[in-house]
This record gives sequence, structure tokens and C-alpha cells, in this order.
Amino acid sequence: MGVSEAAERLRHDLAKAIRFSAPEVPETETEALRERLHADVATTRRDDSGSQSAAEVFDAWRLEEGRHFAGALGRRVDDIASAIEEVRGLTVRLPSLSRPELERLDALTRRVASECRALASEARRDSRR
Amino acid sequence: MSARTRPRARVLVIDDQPRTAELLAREAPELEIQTVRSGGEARAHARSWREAAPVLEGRRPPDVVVLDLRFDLPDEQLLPDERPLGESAAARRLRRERRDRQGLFILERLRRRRPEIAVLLTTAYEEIPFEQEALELKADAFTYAAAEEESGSGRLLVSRLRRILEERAAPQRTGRFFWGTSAAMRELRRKVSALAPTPMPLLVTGPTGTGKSLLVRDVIHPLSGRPGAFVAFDCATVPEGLLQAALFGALRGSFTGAVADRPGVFEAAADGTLFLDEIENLAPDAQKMLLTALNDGTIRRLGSAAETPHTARVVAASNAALTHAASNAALGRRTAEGSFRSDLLMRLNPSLALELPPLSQRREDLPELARLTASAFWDNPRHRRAIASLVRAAGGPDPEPADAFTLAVSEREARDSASAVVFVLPGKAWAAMQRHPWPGNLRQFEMILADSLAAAVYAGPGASLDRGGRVRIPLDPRMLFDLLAGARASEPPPSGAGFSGFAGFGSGSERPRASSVAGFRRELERSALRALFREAGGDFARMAERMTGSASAKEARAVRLRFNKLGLSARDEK
Repeated sequence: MGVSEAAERLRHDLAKAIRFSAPEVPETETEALRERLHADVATTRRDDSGSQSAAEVFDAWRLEEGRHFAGALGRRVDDIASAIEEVRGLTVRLPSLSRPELERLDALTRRVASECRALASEARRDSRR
Repeated sequence: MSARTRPRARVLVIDDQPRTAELLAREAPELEIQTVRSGGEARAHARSWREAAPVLEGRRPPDVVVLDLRFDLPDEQLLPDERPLGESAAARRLRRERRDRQGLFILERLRRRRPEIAVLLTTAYEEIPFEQEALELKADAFTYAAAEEESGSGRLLVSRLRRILEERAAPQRTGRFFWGTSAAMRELRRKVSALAPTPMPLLVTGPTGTGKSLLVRDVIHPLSGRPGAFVAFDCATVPEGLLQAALFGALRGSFTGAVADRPGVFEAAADGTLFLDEIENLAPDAQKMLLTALNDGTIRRLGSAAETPHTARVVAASNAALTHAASNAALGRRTAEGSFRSDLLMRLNPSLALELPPLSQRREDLPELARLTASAFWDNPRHRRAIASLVRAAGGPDPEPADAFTLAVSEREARDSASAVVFVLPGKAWAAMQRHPWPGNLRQFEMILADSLAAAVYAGPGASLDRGGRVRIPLDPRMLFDLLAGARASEPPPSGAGFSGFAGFGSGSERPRASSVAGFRRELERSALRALFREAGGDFARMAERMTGSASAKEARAVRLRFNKLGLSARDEK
């Protein structure tokens, strides 16, 4: 299975979902921000058997597809992994996060979405060479 | 086929995840998110084609489908064949591929069953690894573009969805131009909205009878915002020697008969739109002059040494393919043959060509087109008077309100109609109309239906009052079948076949009458050309082919000149 398809899968399942509910203008109310981050980060994918957090979506993807990525693409995956580790820690404490911590989590969702997008375009470019 | 209003737009979400449906329920309460029943449960989203199909094929289909691309589903729910794949390496590969492109499988099936429904793919276009396929399936829109991803894909989805619904709520007609709701016409509408306000020259392509000139006159020119006039010029009707003067004007004495300075159509369309119809018929010299006018923005009157700037925006049309690249086969052939300048074609922005599809590719629009054709017939004061006298004779009240009629295409529709007057088209006749290839496209459809309505009103068995107090005016299915057979016979005959259009003039009421032999001959020729015009769906090249065996531009022009010389007008005959 191609690296490009695997990267697209991550973009679809994680990058699209992790900022799915983000408004154009950031929430001024802390609880509204917390609620949105809960939907996007703590229950990123859902089905009849339950929900998966953003970190769990990434873990499942990496377990299945991670071995395809080496070199520059591998380093990009490592960057996403490091952002996800921080997301994981903050997600566990989501109900009690302070405003600055919530904003940090929001910034991390931006970074994850952006890195996933970059990974997909680089993988696509590589596959066309 | 009477007018309906919908209070709330219906949206069906097909996605294995519930978040899109939840977002729409929260952010767009004005929409009705359709409920799907599965295993005794009700959901606001269909997780697979199997769950979506009953809603799509039900009595209340959605206006828009919001469709995801990737579906994490078990094999038994994955299109194309919903069968277990096993656990071999090949099966695992196939499973992944099916999941990754499940949205496209669903879109393909949806397009086959319900082509009129708009589809919003909830993914970025560049994200789709099967671009060509997605293009061919004509999704109406894709949601977030890569650059917009960070601002929240869900919000963008809502705004795209609202835009699609606004487009669908737009009137089916603009002036006399008929849009309909087919995917190809929705795409055209978006393209026209984007290009019409620009000053760039445009090319409109499509088979004869698809409404090219109406599109330019009633849509592109008004949308352009240009204060000048709309001027139409048919490149096929003017003899070659007069083309330059007609296009660019002439000075007094520049040719025999030029008794005064005369402006050309470029000047008449100053600050407006100059519509050059059948551009493929432009003679080589005129093509060169037109190219100069487009490149330099200047024209020169015949007999003048001075060049003057012009401000007309040029929109050209062709029913031939100028370029294969622009999906327009006649101009492409002409360009390849060298009879149409490739540099002129390039100047007309062929990659942005506005392509009108043949009617046979937008059959979902036939019911609305029939209703509008009947409305136009009903709105004609002369026809309305004739209908009123039929209604009075049947014992009904005067049909005054504009919406007091229905064109029913089955007995059931006739029975269910709330209108005072019902034109009844038998179901079998309507089915035949829906299957018909319509070589003359919308023009031919409108002519045949209008002829059938006129026959019912002026020469039919009359009207009758039904039990519900409605006045029924039946359309004669035999006549309709005859008209359809005639239209089918007008498709290009095998090489060497002759013209059969005189067969109908030997007897009966259609035989021409005149007070002299010369007059009779002229009337006979007029009748024959009119019949041929109708058979050919208004295509002069096809008429030429039937008459001479050649559909060349030269022959087509000769036929058109003769047609006009006999006092006939293509517009009047439509």
C-alpha cells in the first residue's frame, strides 16, 4: 500500500477531525473552548462501540502505517508524534485545564492538522517522482 | 407538474462518523437533516450506501447529500459488491482501497439513480487520489481547501452547503434561458457566475437547440453589468463579401451601394456585448480581422485607413467543435483542418468554454422543462382565449389565474391535480418523450410539446368536465408519437439518403396555396424549408446535409441565406 494513501488516511481521520468544530474566531468563553476541544480532541472519532481520542486515532494509524515512513517523511511523522504526546497529556486533564492550557491545546490541534497536511502533500509529491 | 414550495431544504448526511450531522443540526437549524432507520434505530446520518438508499429512493428524497470520502466499514457494507473479502494480503489491500474511495463508489451509484440531487463531498479536492473519477461524477462542491483547513473544516462545510442550497433555490429560468437542476447545468451556472462579470472574450459551445444565444442574451450580458447594448450577429447568414462591413462598418463609397458611412456591429455593441453566433462559419479574412480586434482592441471600417478603439465584449458561440481540448469537436476539427485559426480560438479562451450539454444528457430536467413550456403556452393571450372557449364549452369557469392549470403526465397526476384546467398527457406518451434522443435538444422538445398542446386546444376532441370539477384537455398521443418519429427521422441519414420532407405536402391542409404559379412555387419551397427546419431541430448544417448530402459550412450558409430570403426566421420558427 502506498505511502501517499497512508498519509491521506491520516489527514482524513485526524487532521480533518481534530479541528472539525473550530470557529473562525477563537472562543472568548473558556467553557465554550473546553467543550469544543472535548469534541475535537477527546472524542475525535465515534462509532457504536465507543469513541477514540485524537491520540488514539494517531496511535492506531501509526501502528498500521508507520513503518512505511522513512527519511524526511519519517521525521515528519515523529514531529506529529511529539505534538500528539503533548495533546495526550492535556486531553487527560481536559476538564481541569486552565485557560492558557486550553489555548496551548488549541494551538497543538493547529500544529497537528498542519503537520498532517504537510505530510500528505510531501508523500504525494514523493509518489509522483 | 405544478409549482411547489419547500419550507425546509432536506439534507442527507452519508458518513460513517456522526459529527457532520451533529454539526449541521447545531449550526444550520434551518435545514432538515434526514433521519435514517437501521436495525430499529434512527440516526441523523447514513453510515453506508445500504442505509442511504431507502432515503434516496423514498418519497422525500434530499435536496443535497453531504458525502464523506473514506468509510471505515466492514466488507459487507462496502460498495461495489458488499461481499466478504477474506484475510489474504490481496484482500487486505482491496479492503483498504474500497474504504479509501467508498465515497466515490457511493457518488457513482447516487449519480446513476438520482442525478438531480446535489452532492457536497466533505473533503478537499486535492485530497482525492482519484481526481478524474471525481470530476466525471460531478460532485457539486468539495469542502475545505487545504489552506482553509485550520479554520475548522465543519464551518466551511456549512457555508458551502448554504451556497449550494442558494444555487438550487435560484429560478429555473433566467429570462428565456432554462437552467434546470442537472449536475452539468449546476456546474455551468457556477462557471457563468464567475466569468460573466469579467471583460474576457468567451466561447459558448453545445449542440444546436441547447440555448447558446439565450444564455448569452439573457444571462451573460445582464450579469456583465455592461451599460451598452446586446448585439447578436450570425456569422452564417451574411455573405462573405459583406462580412467585413457588417462587423466593422464601412465608409461611404467603400463598395458599390455604400451610399453613407455605416457602423458595424462592433460599434453597435459599444460598452455592451457582441454575440457572434456560429463563429465556425467565419471566413478566413474575417477571422483575421476579428483576431486583430480582440488582440489590439481596435477595428477599422471598410475603406478607412484609421483604426479606432472598440469597447465591445465578444462572446462567440459554436455548435461545432473548434477544439477537442475544449470538448468542442467541430471547431477542433476545423482548427486541425486549418479552416479555423488556432490563434483566434486561443483568444476565445477555449479552456473556459461554457459548454451546454445536449438534452439527452439532462433528462432529469424534462419534467420542469415540460411545465415551463406549458406555462409559456398558457401565458400566450391567443392560446388563453382558445382555452377559455374550450373551458366554457365544457361547462367550466373562465381560467383566469396564471397558475390555474397543470400539465399532468399520467392519469394519476390528472386526478390529483388541484388546478381548474388539466392538460392530460398519457403516461405512455410521456415515457416515450423521456426516452427520446432529442437530436434538436431543448428547442425541439419545446416545439413538439407546444405543437401537441396547440393541436389539443385548436384541433382536439375538446374539453370535458371531470368528477372533481376540473376541465380536462387531452393531448393526442398518436400525434405526439408521429412528431417524435419525425424528430427521430431527422437524425443524420446514411450517406446518399435523400430528403423525405416533401412527403407530407402532397395532400391535405398543409398544401401551400397561392395566386400564381410563381407564388405557389415559393410557398412550396417555404413549406418544405420550414418542415425541414423543424425536422432538423433548427440546425442548418443538418438541413444542408439532408438537401445536398453535404453539411459543409458553405452549404449550411447557402441554406440559411435561402431560408431568410424566403422571409423565414429561425427565431420565429423555434
